[in-house]
Amino acid sequence: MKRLILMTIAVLGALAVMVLWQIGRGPAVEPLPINTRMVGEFEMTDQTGARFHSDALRGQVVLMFFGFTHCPDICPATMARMAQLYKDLERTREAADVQVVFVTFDPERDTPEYLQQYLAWFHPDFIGLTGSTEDVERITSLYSVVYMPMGEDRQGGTEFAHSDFVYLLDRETRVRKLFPVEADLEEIKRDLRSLL
Amino acid sequence: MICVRYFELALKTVLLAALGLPWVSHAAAMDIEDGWIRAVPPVSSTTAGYLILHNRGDTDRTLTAVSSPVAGAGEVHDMSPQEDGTRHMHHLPELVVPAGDAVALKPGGKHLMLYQLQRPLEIGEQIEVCLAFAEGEPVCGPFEVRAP
Repeated sequence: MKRLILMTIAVLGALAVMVLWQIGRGPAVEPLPINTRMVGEFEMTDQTGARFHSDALRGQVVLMFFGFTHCPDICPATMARMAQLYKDLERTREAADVQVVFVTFDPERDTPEYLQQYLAWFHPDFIGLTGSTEDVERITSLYSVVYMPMGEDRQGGTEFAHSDFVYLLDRETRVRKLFPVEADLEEIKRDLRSLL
Repeated sequence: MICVRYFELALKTVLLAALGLPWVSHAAAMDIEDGWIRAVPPVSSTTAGYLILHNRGDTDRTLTAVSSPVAGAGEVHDMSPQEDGTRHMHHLPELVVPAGDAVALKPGGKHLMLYQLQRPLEIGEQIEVCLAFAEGEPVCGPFEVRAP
């Protein structure tokens, strides 16, 4: 009889521990789906002028944005939001495994030197990728980025119409989610943390 | 003789006032609320400005030009979503602000474009921007440079 009571107490105790552990974890988060369409490797030139292969991003959780530096509205606003998010992650010591990447589809104006100066203003850790027209066509095709030259602006440069998603890539460089540029930073952080 | 001089002076004053009144009323009818300019990296030569433009008068006003001492050129642009999911920015040669109404120029939508920036803009500084209209005098105001 005594043994039965002790066993019951032990079982109840174990159940209580399991319940408390589950409560402590919070609501279960569904793993982000893996995008099986945007798959492949790319090679570009980074902001230092060195060739950059997509393998260099393995092991990092990546936030990638496609734009052009002469875009005055969406692009700087998005990069500023990425900088804010990255600084938040630095404060919580989570930034070491996170990489923000800006990819231009305007390589004529966005040279490595220009990208270096442009991105350093937002955060010195950010990577900028440019390259030949073929490089840009390859990476934008890989990630289904839409961009179209729309004529010249007042400075004689090209205006672009473009899609404007922020891509979240996991440590295996697989695309896990696309965020609209106005997405809540807390939502991006939550999804990003699920991949860290 | 003195009377004639006073009469001439009074007449001139009335004429000048009559000529000036429509301009004054136009200028007073428009005002700029919460004007700000997006800070951009020093290497950038283009930025955008935002505001709410109120037309408190009783006639429509048409914004046709933008200028600032810090920019070589200015324009009004709009950002329109396309069917393919892209957004296309295009020049708006005219922007009508209806009488008694206001138009908001905000991120992701209509905005001012400042080209050929003459120098890097510092966050927190006030930049004068002037808006010219098809009718009446331009309206100028300070725009604060804010973090992007």
